[in-house]
Amino acid sequence: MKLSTRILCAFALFLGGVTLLHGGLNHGWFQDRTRARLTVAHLPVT
Amino acid sequence: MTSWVSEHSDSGTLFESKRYTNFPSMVEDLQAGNLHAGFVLAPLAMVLAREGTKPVKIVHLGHRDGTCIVVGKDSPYHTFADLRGKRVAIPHRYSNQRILIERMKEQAGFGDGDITLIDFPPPEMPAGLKAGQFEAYIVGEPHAARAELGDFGRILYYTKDVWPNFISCVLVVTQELIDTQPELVQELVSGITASGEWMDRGPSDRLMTGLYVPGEAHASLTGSETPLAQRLIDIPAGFGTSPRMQAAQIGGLFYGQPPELLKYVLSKPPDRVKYTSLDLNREDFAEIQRYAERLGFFSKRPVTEADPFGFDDYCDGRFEKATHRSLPLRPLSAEALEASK
Repeated sequence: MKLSTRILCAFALFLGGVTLLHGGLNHGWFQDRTRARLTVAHLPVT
Repeated sequence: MTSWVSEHSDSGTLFESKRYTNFPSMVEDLQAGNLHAGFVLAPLAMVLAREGTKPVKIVHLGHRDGTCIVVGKDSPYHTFADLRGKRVAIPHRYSNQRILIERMKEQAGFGDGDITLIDFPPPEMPAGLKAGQFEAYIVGEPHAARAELGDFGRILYYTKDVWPNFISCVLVVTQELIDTQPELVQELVSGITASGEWMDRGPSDRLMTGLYVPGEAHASLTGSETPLAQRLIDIPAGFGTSPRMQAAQIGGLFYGQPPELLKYVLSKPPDRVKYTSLDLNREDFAEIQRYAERLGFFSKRPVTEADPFGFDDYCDGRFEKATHRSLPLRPLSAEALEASK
């Protein structure tokens, strides 16, 4: 494999890794996907 | 309260609170399918059930009473009869506040044109009274207390004295949500019931999760970068630690109002607003519906013998019969209680 191809592959792997890590952090850590959600609306008045 | 509890629990549904500034926007989102639950004025909920494009049902009350008629502090109005020929602001044309004014007009022998009603956004009513845009207004708290504490308003009537157990807002959910996720509606209704019971009946020697008294160490999730419902609250010394005072601290976050204002609303007098007896009652709604029909609330689809409309068409009480939900409360030590005084 040519050096330029290897560099391109390494860069693509790097980008893919960053994307997956970012997605994993967002969905796995910061958002609780196991719980149902419901938005309940109200006015600041009783 | 239910949102606060769910955000501070590790299991169950996450109930996210969304604050609107007016009812038409909320109704628009409900009808567009962007929203499936909300606290709506009782007659407006009936109109939605009758004429709306997306079927909804009332599943529980949010509270009882908590509405006042307010006049200027030094004004010459001391009874309802003094308001003849005056302007009164109401929160919405399909509100129970309007129905109460109509009831009082009947009792005072007023004619149709003896009071001019003005639709006005509740949060702006105190400023409207101060500016002389109307002589009185009727609204749910804390916007009556704001005029009192601002020293320019006076309570003419509390609903507890003129229409006991008054119903203002009710919990409405879409029929679609009831059909597809009834367990979620159940959890919400049980949570509201449990929060109300705790606020009115205690126990008073417990602290709600996420609240701390002076001297207690905890993580610092109090900054503005933390989502409202996930924050931790330090109750200031001297504020009080009764369930209602704890609710005033939490409510202050969601209402965007000072906790001191909510403390006043929840304690001066204590029966100014009630959070128990929230079950749907046929007689209460029959009276509201009677006035709603007479005032033409269902003008697009009038109620007739051929096209009837009743309690079961707009209320679904099945979720009120379930078991009680426990709240995440922790014991308050004697030292902590003493320190908070």
